[in-house]
Amino acid sequence: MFADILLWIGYFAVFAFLVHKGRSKDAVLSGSVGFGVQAFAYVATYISAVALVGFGGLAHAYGLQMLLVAAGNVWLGTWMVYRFLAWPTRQWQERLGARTPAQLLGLGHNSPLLTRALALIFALFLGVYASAVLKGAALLLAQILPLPVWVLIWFVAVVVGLAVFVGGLRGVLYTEAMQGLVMLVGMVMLVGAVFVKVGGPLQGVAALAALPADALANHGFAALSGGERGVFILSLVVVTSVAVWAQPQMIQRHFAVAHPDQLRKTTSLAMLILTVLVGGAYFAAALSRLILPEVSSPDEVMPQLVRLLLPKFALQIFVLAIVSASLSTATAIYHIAVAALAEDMTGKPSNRWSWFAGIVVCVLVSGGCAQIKGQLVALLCTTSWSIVGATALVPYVALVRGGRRNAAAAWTGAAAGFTACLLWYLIAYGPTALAGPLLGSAAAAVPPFFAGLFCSLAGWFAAVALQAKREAVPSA
Amino acid sequence: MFALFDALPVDPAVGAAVFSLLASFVISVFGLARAFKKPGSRHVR
Repeated sequence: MFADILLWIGYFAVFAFLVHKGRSKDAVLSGSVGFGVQAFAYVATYISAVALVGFGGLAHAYGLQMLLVAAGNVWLGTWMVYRFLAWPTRQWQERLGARTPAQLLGLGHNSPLLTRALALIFALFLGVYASAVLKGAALLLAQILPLPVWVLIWFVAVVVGLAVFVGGLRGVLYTEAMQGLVMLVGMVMLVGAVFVKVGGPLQGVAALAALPADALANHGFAALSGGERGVFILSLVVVTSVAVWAQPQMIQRHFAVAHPDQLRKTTSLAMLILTVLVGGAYFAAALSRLILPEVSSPDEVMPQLVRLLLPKFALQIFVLAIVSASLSTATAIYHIAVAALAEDMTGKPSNRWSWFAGIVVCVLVSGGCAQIKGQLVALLCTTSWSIVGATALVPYVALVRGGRRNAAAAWTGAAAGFTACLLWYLIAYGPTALAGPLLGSAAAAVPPFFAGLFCSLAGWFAAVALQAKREAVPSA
Repeated sequence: MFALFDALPVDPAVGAAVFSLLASFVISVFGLARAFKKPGSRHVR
């Protein structure tokens, strides 16, 4: 008990130290940071508790095919990002003098109004999405702290708000790096314990492959499922690995790149961490079917596995790892939402007061939303990742990779991506359509991010074609 | 490594995922080792 208390005090003491160490006059920009901080912070921002606990539950249900999601996250979500997007983003950011991702896109496409529109979307969706992250951390803390969940929600919200206020982006990056390390340690312990229990990875895979197929893993637990189930897994690969390219909290991490040579180390380290963390988590969760054949809920897989296999002290470290996953995602999201409120929407650089006011709004909105069980809040939380990705991806990639600067095309692409993705959630997508899927069962299985991305691309090219036609008319 | 995949009772899609994760592990470890290797530290005959 004493050791557990010391562990938690030590964790929050290091957290506070790193926040303090990172503080600077400019809360929005971090300046360049070392490759280790970048790599750990990128992974910690990318991988939330949902990815570890929720997708761990999916790996229990679907088996080893969830490793496709892990491989997608490593190669598409990390290697491609650092290979093709990170340094061009940094160069454009410096060239344009942009301080936030919304400014990067607005200045890049010569449209200050685009900055404000994107800032509104980022603040709304990420601010509300933060409520789900806060609630996840509070529910986990409630397992070890004798306090009501609503108190813990406000506690987490205030801790995250304070970290962003005092440390700014540099403090956020430092704490995320520390939290990424804790996540790695916790996951390595769990994977090791699972391997010992099942007699090693090869024996585990052989035993898993011998299990009979069921409704979800309809080709067995060592194969990609057929039909809708397999499509679901493949769509999960794309949504989690491609939509991440344009998440503003990830784009902001590229602003801290010091030099292209630094990226070689950052890429290797980030891929290594992610391979162990996510590959290990899904592998262990898939093998957990051999240890826990039946679970009451997918979200119970990881906690039950940990309680069963790890000694008490290691259990605390694992809980810390999941809390770290939540806190690191929450600080990153808060930073973007606060910067959107304090700087992008006002159109002038933030100061301590506007930054503080932005944090108060963010704490109240996300903490308040986490307390209520509204349908709108649930919808915003579910849709945030895909909608933000579908809105920003095409204008972002066109700018940093293609060097295309086109306000009309960026507006059309962003608006089409946003609208199509949101409408698809509301009327077509099976799990979220308000009055049932109206476009048939085939459309109900298509993830809204795909619909949004397709319409965004169509919008971009339509606007470009229209412009070219208009320019051609006077000269004809 | 390919012998390992012959021994693993997984379908090609899952095999590809396992292979790419192992490849990522190996490449990133070698990538880090190479990035940290000081220039001129290679033995010259």
